[in-house]
Amino acid sequence: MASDAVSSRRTGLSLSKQVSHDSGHARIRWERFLWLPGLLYFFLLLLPQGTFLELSLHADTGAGQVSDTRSLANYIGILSDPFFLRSIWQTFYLSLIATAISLAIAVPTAYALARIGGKLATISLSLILTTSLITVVIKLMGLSIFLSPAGLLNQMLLGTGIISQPLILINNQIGVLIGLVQYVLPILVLLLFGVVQTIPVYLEEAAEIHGATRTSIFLSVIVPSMKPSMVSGGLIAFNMCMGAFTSAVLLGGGRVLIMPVLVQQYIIQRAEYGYGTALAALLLLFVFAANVSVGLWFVRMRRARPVRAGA
Amino acid sequence: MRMPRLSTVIAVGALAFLLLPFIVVIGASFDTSNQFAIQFPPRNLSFMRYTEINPKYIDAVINSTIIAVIVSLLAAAFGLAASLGIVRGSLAGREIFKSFFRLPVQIPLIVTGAVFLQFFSWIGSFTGFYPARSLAGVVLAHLIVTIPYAIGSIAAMLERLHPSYEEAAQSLGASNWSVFWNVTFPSIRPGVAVGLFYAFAVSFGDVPIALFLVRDKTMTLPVQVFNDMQVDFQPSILALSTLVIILSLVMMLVIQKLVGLDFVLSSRQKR
Amino acid sequence: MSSVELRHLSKSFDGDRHAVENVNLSIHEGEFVVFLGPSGCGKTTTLRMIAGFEFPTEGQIFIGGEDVTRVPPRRREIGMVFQNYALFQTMTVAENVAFGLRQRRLGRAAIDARVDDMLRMAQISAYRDRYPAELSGGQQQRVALVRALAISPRMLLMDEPLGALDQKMREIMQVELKQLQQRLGITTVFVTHDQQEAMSLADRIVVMEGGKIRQIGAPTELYERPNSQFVAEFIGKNNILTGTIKDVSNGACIVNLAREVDVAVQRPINPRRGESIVFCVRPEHIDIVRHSTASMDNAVVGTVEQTQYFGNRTHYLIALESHKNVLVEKARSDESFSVGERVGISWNVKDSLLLDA
Ligand SMILES: Nc1ncnc2c1ncn2[C@@H]1O[C@H](COP(=O)(O)OP(=O)(O)OP(=O)(O)O)[C@@H](O)[C@H]1O
Ligand SMILES: [Mg+2]
Repeated sequence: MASDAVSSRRTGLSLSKQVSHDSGHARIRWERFLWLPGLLYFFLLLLPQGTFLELSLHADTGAGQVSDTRSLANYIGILSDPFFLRSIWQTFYLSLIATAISLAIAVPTAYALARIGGKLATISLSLILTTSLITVVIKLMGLSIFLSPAGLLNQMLLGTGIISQPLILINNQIGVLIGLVQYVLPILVLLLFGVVQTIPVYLEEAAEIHGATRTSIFLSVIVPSMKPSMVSGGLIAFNMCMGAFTSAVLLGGGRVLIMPVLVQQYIIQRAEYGYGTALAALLLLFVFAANVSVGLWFVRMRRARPVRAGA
Repeated sequence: MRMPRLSTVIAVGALAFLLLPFIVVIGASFDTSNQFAIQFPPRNLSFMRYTEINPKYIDAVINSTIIAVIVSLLAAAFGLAASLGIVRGSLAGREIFKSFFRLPVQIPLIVTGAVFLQFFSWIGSFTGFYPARSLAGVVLAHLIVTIPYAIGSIAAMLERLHPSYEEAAQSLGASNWSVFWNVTFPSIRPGVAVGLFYAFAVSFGDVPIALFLVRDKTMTLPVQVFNDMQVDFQPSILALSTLVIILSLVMMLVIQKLVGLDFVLSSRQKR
Repeated sequence: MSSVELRHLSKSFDGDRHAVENVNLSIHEGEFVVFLGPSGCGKTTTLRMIAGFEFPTEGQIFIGGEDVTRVPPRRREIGMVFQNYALFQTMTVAENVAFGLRQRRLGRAAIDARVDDMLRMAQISAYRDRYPAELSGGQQQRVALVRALAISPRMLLMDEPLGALDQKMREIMQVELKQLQQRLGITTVFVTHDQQEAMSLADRIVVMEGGKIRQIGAPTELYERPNSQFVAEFIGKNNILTGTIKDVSNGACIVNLAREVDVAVQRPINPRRGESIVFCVRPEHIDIVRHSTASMDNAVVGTVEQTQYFGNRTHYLIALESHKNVLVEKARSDESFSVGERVGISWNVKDSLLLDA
């Protein structure tokens, strides 16, 4: 009798739990949370970009007005004008060189910081992180003071007699390059640091005991393991450079007319919205094309060789 | 394991290069050897530049702060919702959603700025509401580019939180709300904090977007400095910049104390 | 092949506590030496000093008579197999094996020929162009081994190389490894904390504890003549017993274990009545008989506490009246005992071994 009571009470318990399960404890439908940000993305991303691209199909008629009919005239005009072609080319190669230089510095830097480890690395990383978060305008201010013809760098070089004329390091492409490296280097170092940390030290030891020199270890163990992140990190850096406008203006001194600068000039200063929007659309197109093609190339490369970092 | 020598040398150089501009700005801000010229290394050290800061910069700092605070709160809220949906929702093609929500950071910022200038005037032309006439314009434009940062850090945290914790709470009879507030949210709070922090930093430092949208009344600090650097560079800008640098360092230290550097770094990579 | 000598080798990481303390050891050419000891006893540290990854705080290392204490790892011409293999994930099997040869700037043809030889030797030629991630644990182990051997090293170092394999694979690899080592005659130092593995592989075992060497000897020597309680317990199963000397005869001495319980034990060199001593008896050297039939001298009475059946042998845990438990191993026989049964146990005096406390 007693055991009957217990078992029936148990049944009762499990029944009541099942009931509550059906009413209120079903799985939370988390995917519904996507509606709100999704709507926001529609109104602040898809709709503006769409109307913007549409505007680029209208030719300028002067005084900030555009024609009512749609055509590819702006695009044809830009792509057949040597001035714009030169600007497109310049945007590309400056971004590419800045990315390459940044990678060449960031890879050994991340490697050294990861291997030094401890407090020193933590402090260095915090500083690098902080520099990546402070507005680029302040960095460019410091750089232009330091690099100017009367700046400390030229004073030191002149003082030691290495050069007899001040080096012109700002208001030209060199200045812009230095600015771009300053802009993307911290992000690359932070990104690659995390990657080096996943490469076990014993792999380096294995290479060393088999006779590898420091350089050989770096080139045959570290660099291949980092290759995937170097590609994705390089892509991020390249994207940032392609859109970098501030360094081109402040260190290019109005002489380095890369696409972002032209976009701003055409839209704000000249109010030629047709050309301005078409230039912006082309910039967007190039960035996406670069991303997609590198992405595809990368997928093919990975399929051919299953590269996995670490053990 | 002995240290890689060449790499260490490069690392020291890189660190010096990255810190150099800040050292120059901070150093030059204390120089008062010449009224109008900028001098580094500084000669006559004093705080004079700090007393000369033009009131228009104070207004710009206030504008920038208001914008960045609103933007970071909104970005964290939208980022939280999106992360929950992406990570926890039952979705076909989760990767597609992920890439879609990351799109705004892949668009060159200058393009986004131009897009919003045009979009806001288009909106205004048939609703009569011109967002760019108030701070709302910059806030909306910054919001869309900062949400991906918030998603990056919150989703990273959420992916590490195994659903079994939430299921355990549910099996103990907790309601959905209670599960969220007692289990899910406390566990991902560091991700939210880092998301807020990044959103704040991106919004507070932006030039290429705000440049298209600000007017005198809504001027932000970086745009004001950017404009003045081209035409009318006053040394007091150095003093102001130094204050911004110190403030950023303090914020960095606070966020590190709160959530730890490892986490700040690991969620940064998820961009 | 080369001999190896460690002289007064010490290492401390943070100044005060020694991870390795005054290790002296000479290893003959072609010898297979196993470092054995509990976790944290300094095996890996010693091995890494031989490899050159750690600088000794004190002492010297000689390989083939040459002082290599200050020579960097890459010039030591040592092959090493890491615990987790440390295979380069971005290189194929063949590229991994060729790695050391490429560092030595050998010609392409010579490298290819050598790699082929090595892969054939390890029977992994079929996996030549695979990546490590596409191999099983045992196959990766073989790649790591031949990568180390490809450079024709002066000696081979291995740090728990079989630790990641399952028991069956481990045993297969132990046999292969031993055969290969003997065929090549390569001086080998192998680290493990598994005493069975040590016994089956070693020419000589170096037992370490707390950074110091406790005993060096061939497996049989360590098993049959452990010099300390630590070694006696660490190598194989053993019963450690303590008592006081009650009486001394010419061949043995009578030791009192507890109140009424007396046993005969090998005679110490200099026995003194009343002195307390420690001795051990291996489980397989203990005889077990039914209580009623007990007629052997030196028999101690106890109760069967627990039995463990292994097929070819049975373990009995016998609780003595002194509350001490003794393990007895009985080879397969007709006689069996059940839990709770009263039994008598005994051993030959020569099988009881005195130990330094
Ligand atoms: N890099 C190091 N820094 C500080 N202490 C260390 C370091 N490496 C080892 N030790 C210490 O030295 C002692 C010996 O370590 P070792 O790795 O040689 O032990 P082991 O015998 O290989 O142990 P296991 O069987 O667990 O691998 C340990 O107490 C360990 O904590
Ligand atoms: Mg070890």
